[in-house]
Order: sequence, then C-alpha cells, then structure tokens
Amino acid sequence: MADNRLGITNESKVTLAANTAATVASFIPGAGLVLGPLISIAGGVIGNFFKNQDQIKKIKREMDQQLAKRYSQTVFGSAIERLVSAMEQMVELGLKPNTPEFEEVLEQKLYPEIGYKKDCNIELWNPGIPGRPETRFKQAFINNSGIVTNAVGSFDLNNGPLWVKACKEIKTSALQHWAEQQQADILFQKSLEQEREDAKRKTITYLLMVGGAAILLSGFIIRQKKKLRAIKLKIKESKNA
Amino acid sequence: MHKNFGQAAGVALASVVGSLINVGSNVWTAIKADALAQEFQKKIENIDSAKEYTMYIASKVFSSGRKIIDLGQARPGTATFERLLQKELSPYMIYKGLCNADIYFPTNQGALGTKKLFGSFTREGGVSMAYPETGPVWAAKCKNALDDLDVYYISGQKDRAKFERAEEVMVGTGGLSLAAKFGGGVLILALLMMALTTQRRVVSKLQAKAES
Repeated sequence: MADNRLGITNESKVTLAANTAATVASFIPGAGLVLGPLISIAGGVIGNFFKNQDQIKKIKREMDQQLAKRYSQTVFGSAIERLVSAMEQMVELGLKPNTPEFEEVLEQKLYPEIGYKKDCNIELWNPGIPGRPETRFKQAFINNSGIVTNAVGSFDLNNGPLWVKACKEIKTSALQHWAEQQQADILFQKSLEQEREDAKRKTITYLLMVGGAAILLSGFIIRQKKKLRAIKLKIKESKNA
Repeated sequence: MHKNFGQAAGVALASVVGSLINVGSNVWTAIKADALAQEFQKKIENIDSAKEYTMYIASKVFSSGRKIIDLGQARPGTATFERLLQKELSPYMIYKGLCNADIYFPTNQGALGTKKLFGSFTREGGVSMAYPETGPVWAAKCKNALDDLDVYYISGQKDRAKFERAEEVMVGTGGLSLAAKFGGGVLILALLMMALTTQRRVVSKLQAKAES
C-alpha cells in the first residue's frame, strides 16, 4: 500500500532498497560486478510489480468512489421527488403553499423521511443499514440559500443550489395548483348559481306565457257567454212575439 | 577477460529477462484494468436495470391502490387499505405495510416456491440483497404512490360532493319548473275545455234560433 501522506510508494521503496543494495554489492570483490546489476534489475522488476498493483487498487478505489457518489446523488434525487408528491397532497388537503401552516405540516410529514425543515432547509437523511434505523445519519445540511454544511462522504456540494432551485420551483408549482383549484371551486359555485337563476327565469317566462294564454282564453269565454246570453234573450223575445 | 565476458553476458541476460517480466507485468495490468472497466460498466448497467425494475414495481403500488379506491373498499392510510394492498401486491412482493416490502424478481407464473427474492426494502430507503441505489428509489416512489393515492381519494370525494351539490340544485329547480308546467298545463286545459263548451252552446243556440 502507498503511504499517500508522504507520497512514498512501494515501488519507490523497493527501487531505493535495490539501488542501495546494488551500490553496496558492487564493492564486494569479484562478485560485486555481477551482483550489483542483478540486484538492481530484480529491484526494478519488483518495483514495477508493486506499481501495477497500486494502479489496480487506485482504479478500484475510483470505482468505489463513483458508486458512492451515485448512491449519494440517488438519495438526493429521491428527496426532491418526495417534495413534489408531499406538496401536492398538502394542496389537495386545502393548505395554501408558502404559509406558516403549510410549512409546519410539511415539516411534520417530511422531516422523519428526508430531513426537510421549514422554508427549503434540509438535513438530508442517509438510509443507513436496513433493519437498523439507528444507523441512519445526516448526509448534509443545506440551507435555503443553497449553502451546504456538514457534508459527509461523497456528497456533491453543487447539490446545494440545485436543491434550493428545485424546492422553490416545486413550491411555485404547488401554489399555482392551489390557485387553480380555488378558481375551479369558485367557477363551480358560480355555475350552480347561474343554473339556479336560469331555471328561475325560465319558470317565470313560462308562467307569464301561461298567464297570457289564460287571460286570452278567459276573455274569449266571457265574450262567448255574453253572446250566448244575448242569443237566449233574442230567442225568448221571438217566442213571446 | 573470459570471466568478465561471462559476467557481462549474465548481466545482459538478466537485464533482458527483467525487461520481459516488466513488459509482461504491464500488459497484465492493462488487461486487468480493461477487465475492471468493463466489469464496472456492466455493474452500472445492472444497477440501472435494477432501478428501472424497482420503479416499475413501485408503480404497481399506485395502480393496485387505485383499484381498491375505485371499488370503494377502503380509504388510503387505514389498516384495511394496507391489508387489501398487501393482497393486491402479492404477485410482485410481500408487502409488509408502509412501504416495507420483500420484492420478487420478475418470473413467469410457476409453482409455489419458484419466486426469487430481488431485495428487502425498508421505508427509510434501506435495502438488503439488491443494489444499494434501489433502496432510496423504492422508498421515494412507494411513499409518493401512497401520497398520490390519498390525493386520488380526496379528489374523488370532492368530485362526488360537487356532483351531489349540482344534483341537489338541478332537482330543486327542476321540481319547481315541473310544478309550474303542470299547474300551467292544467289551467290552460281547463280554460280550453270551458271555451270549447261555451262555443258549442253558442253554436247550438244559433242553430235553434235559425230553425225557429
């Protein structure tokens, strides 16, 4: 393993040891001329081997870091997704977004799940080990200005502004939805009133028409009765004559 | 001199052998690195597939819940609803309630015991057996589905209330209109009958007058 603090790798240790041994061996009478170079060559081979091992380990480490970052981003993305559905639910329950009551209820609902606090602040929960809720930990704190503090592990600091932007957009959308619902309710009430007024108007119009017809018919009946009386009188007079 | 020449040849040979070993080691490292990269790429693809599958299974929570609501069987968030949801989701998972579940791999319909466990998921986003990334995905999608079911239920209730209110208004105004039409019709009919009777009497009297 490489000691990264001092930048000393296994390869450099072996090379140094081999070169030192080679230098010392070269002073041995007779065999020194052969032993020195051989030790140096062997040192080079072993050093190269360790260098390759370190390279493989580095690749594996980078892959693990990439996986950890992906996981961290998935947790973050899931938190934003929760925000959308939760706000929709609050709006459907009749709460107006961007009010203290709305924020209170939203925090009560989402803090245990994702760590949401009022006004787009969040202490982002990491799930921890399944079956052991005590292993949950706070991955980062993001305030409503987008500043990330207390970030743990491979949490991307660029997520701060992303979170704030997403949170505000979701709230705006929720407020718009709430306003549309209110408008729809008002329009519905108006349409019912309109319907009632229309029905009343139609009934009055019908009654006026019936009244007019009744007056005409009554007038006709009265006239015919008078005529009948006159005819009866004339018949009676002609009989008397 | 011969001895020195032998020594030089030995050193040269060792140097060549050393170089060959280094080249071999480097080639092996390059192959290993390439294999690791390919393995990693495959792993990423598998993780993405697993996430897709998790999202698909989570969508079943909403569709099954909506079926329960449409049949008027229970309200979301109640113990009855959770029990019914567990039954509806049994082909895909052992749903333990509140988004805790043991999810199966997709399998053909087979004999009992052929289902293979994909992963055990918790409400907090933890997961065992499946890739860790699927845990938060499941938690978010499942909880969203339950919230969406609540929204679906509430909006259904609101629509029903609106319909009943509209029906009330229509029945009220319709009844008034019907009464007015009935009364007006009866009045007109009565007056018409009277008019016809009177006219017939006038005609018969005129005929009697003409004969006399």
